[in-house]
Amino acid sequence: MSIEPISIRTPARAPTIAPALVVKGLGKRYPTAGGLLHAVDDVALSIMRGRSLGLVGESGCGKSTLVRLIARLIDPTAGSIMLSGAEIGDVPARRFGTRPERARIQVVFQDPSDSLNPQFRVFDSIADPLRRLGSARGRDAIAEKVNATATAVGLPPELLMRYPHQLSGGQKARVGIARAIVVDPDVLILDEPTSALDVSVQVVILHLLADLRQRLNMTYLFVSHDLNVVRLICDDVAVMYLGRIVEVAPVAQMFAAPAHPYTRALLSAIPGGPVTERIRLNGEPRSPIDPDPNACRFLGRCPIGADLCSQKAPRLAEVAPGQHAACHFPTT
Amino acid sequence: MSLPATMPRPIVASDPPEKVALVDVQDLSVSFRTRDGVVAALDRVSFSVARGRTLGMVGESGSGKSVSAYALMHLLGAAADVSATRMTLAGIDLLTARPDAIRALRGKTVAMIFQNARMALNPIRPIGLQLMDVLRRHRALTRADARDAALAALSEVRIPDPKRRFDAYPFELSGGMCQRVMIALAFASEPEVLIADEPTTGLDVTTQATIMDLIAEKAARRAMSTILITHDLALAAEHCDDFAVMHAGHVVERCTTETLKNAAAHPYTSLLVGATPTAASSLSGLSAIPGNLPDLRATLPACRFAHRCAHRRPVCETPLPRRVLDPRHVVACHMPWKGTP
Amino acid sequence: MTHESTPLPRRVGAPQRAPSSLAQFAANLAHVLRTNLLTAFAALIFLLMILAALLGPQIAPYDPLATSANTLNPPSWSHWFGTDHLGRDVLSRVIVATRIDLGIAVSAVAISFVIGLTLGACAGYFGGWTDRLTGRFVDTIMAFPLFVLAMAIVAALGNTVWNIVLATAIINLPFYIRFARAEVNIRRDAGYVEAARLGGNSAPRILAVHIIPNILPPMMVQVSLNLGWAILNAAGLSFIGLGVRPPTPEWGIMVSEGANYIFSGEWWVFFFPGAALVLAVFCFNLLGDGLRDILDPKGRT
Repeated sequence: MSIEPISIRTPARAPTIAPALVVKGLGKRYPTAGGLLHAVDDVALSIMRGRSLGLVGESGCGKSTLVRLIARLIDPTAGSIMLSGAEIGDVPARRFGTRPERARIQVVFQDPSDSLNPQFRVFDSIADPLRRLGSARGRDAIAEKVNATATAVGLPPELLMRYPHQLSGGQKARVGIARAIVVDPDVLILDEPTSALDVSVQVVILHLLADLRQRLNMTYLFVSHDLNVVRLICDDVAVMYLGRIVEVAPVAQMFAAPAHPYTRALLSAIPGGPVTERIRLNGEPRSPIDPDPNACRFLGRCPIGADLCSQKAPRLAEVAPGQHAACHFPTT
Repeated sequence: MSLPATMPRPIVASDPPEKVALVDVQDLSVSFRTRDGVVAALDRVSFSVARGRTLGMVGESGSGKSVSAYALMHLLGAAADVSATRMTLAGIDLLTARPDAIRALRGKTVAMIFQNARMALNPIRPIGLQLMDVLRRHRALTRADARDAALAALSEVRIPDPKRRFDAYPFELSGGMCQRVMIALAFASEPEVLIADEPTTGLDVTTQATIMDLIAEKAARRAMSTILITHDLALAAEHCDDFAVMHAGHVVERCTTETLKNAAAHPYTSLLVGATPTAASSLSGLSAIPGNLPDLRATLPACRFAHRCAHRRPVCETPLPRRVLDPRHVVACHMPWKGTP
Repeated sequence: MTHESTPLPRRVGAPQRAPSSLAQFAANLAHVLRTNLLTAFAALIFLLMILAALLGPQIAPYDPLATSANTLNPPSWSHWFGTDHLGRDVLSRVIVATRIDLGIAVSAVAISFVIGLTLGACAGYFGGWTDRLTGRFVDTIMAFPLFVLAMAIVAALGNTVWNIVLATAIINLPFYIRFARAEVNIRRDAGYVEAARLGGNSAPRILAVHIIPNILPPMMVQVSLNLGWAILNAAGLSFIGLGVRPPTPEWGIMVSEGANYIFSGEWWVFFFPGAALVLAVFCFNLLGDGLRDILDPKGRT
């Protein structure tokens, strides 16, 4: 996994295999009464095909906005999104539904109860994207594909005629996954897919997701607030804070040696986590409205609060082989 | 019928603090009369909490954890049939106490905090005033004194800038801050028992840690007993002294945290532990719990876990025993594991 | 009860097959009717009204328009509801009037519903100028006392049955527009709507296929409640002489004609059509409540 600043990306240095997803300088700003809200600011990510990148961050960090930007449900105000080499960030969201790229990037949502249409039978929920986007045409071809997908996610065929309220949480989660993969996407964004599930169901779904990734060679962007879960299923992790990526590293490395103070605090707060010494974050998060471009966004809550932090905003830089952090004083 | 005690039973100086059970529930059974039949929600549930200790009630959703707490507080509706051999709280016998005595208990001796804090607060009243209401109800305070006490309570739960936040409405505060306000409300009356029903579900992990620390801090200061209801085993393991593991309306195991982590005797407990990701787990090392919770409307067998258990034997169809493996370890199983499974 | 040795998920004691939605609807319906006698009663009255509307002329004992010399006879065995000032049988007129009153109400509500649903749904989903313009349109209608507005419309367009339908439909529009707008607004950001977008659905398709089926159940309840109001409105217009003309039997006209005889003691001339009106409105209100219970199984504990 690599971060490539725009300035050094020349054709001679371009990788021979295009990454499945490359995001550069992505930004989303909302005008509000109090000023410009920077929901997502200068985000760069890159996921190679078949790999899984975890995205962690707390409420208000902008990961939902980022998910919607990458999934092309909303339009960015800056930056580019490249899906298997094709730029998709410049197509307006409302016109993206008719593009062939629509089927190549799909989302599995968090709350299965909210993400399934209560008036649709399970079969129709899964078949709908296929009818709109898929290559299967005709009742039989569609039914065959839906059945095959249902089997692949472990959904018994007799459940296909049921309504969502007749299913358990785990079954609904499977329907959500089936619906997302039925159009054979290249990239699957999973937005907290197991947060609303019981711990035992979570295990089953995680096993399923790992299995599917391997079999279908899909690329995952796995968004979660639970670092323990991310550790189980992701190859690399990116940590987000107030709209910016503050650290990216392979998962084992990040757990063993977190560089950014926010990551360290996050890891220390996990019950049963790798760090036993609690790092308390005091103070309030800074406002995402009209943030100071010359100050670190974590200043005020950070245990380190040097003068440099308020004079120069840190940028993502390599602090260890394969590990990038946006901090003037990373722990190495 | 005996008159309810109005004062908690005096603690005898010679009793070591751990021995005094502040909450003692024996054989609590609750069933609900619904349109679809009678739901046997709880079947002879027993648990107790000593003064100053924290009990974690864990289990899958629908196992009866919240119902137990609500039954304790007499908050279940008219459709519930509650029966128990014993149900005492801070010395008061809840089975024979009059309704107004129980009402007086709630909020004063027993406090409860809930999952969705913003929903539990009055949306049209500033939080400062809500705090003042509770403070004035439990202590005779003038308006000015109550206001000062409310401000002090807000800073005690570490709400930044309490003076400004005093006039804030719940919708203006984040989930974590609403939860802190709820904790402040709960502690306004200096309760002896705190029941926390999923207090941190839905909150960020850093906020979760802060909230749990806050609860632990206050509990330690006042030797308060806490019942923590959660489906997050890792969270409970970090903050609880004892455990009551619930499955389908049964308490299948009562043990200490140490025992839970290393020497769980009930198959369900070990499966629960085995399904919870920790910093050391790997995906292949986690295993799901087979089967589903049984339908509580049907007639149920003696062991409600048997249909999911890999070690089921014919003896499992006979009434469940309560095996006391050692003073702090009780298992409801015919063949509990001894030592590491 | 069986024991499982395999780890397949299976609910012990739960039903094996999921019932179809029709079977579930029927089951809910049967349950509501069994437990709620008022709803059952309302359903019965509703069926009787439909029968009267469809078969009115056939089942009426006398020709509703036939005058006779037996004017103002009190209720008797030959004339159960008595006769009016022109010797016409009141019972026959009440029965035959069901067709017109129900017809006007149903037509007006249908038009109102369809247009209101479309406008409101678009306003709620697209927001922006669509919402603002629709809002101003609704505000304009609601600036008038609605009955007076109906009178004005009928007076301006002409005194026909169709114009009563139109007037009633227009004054009912704000109700449906607002309701549809609110319901669509709630669901606009639901997970399944985003999933539909991800699935390549266009905005009109999302509205029509994904969102509107979800708001139909609560709207059906409103329709039922609204029908009662529409009947009253039509009868009210006829009462003051706008709309249906004599000698056509219609409850409003009959009450109006009978009003002349209240003090002279011939109470049956206005009472029975009035009672029919009350019964009809009552029936629709009760049905609305019952419909809500039937269509929303999650509301039951």
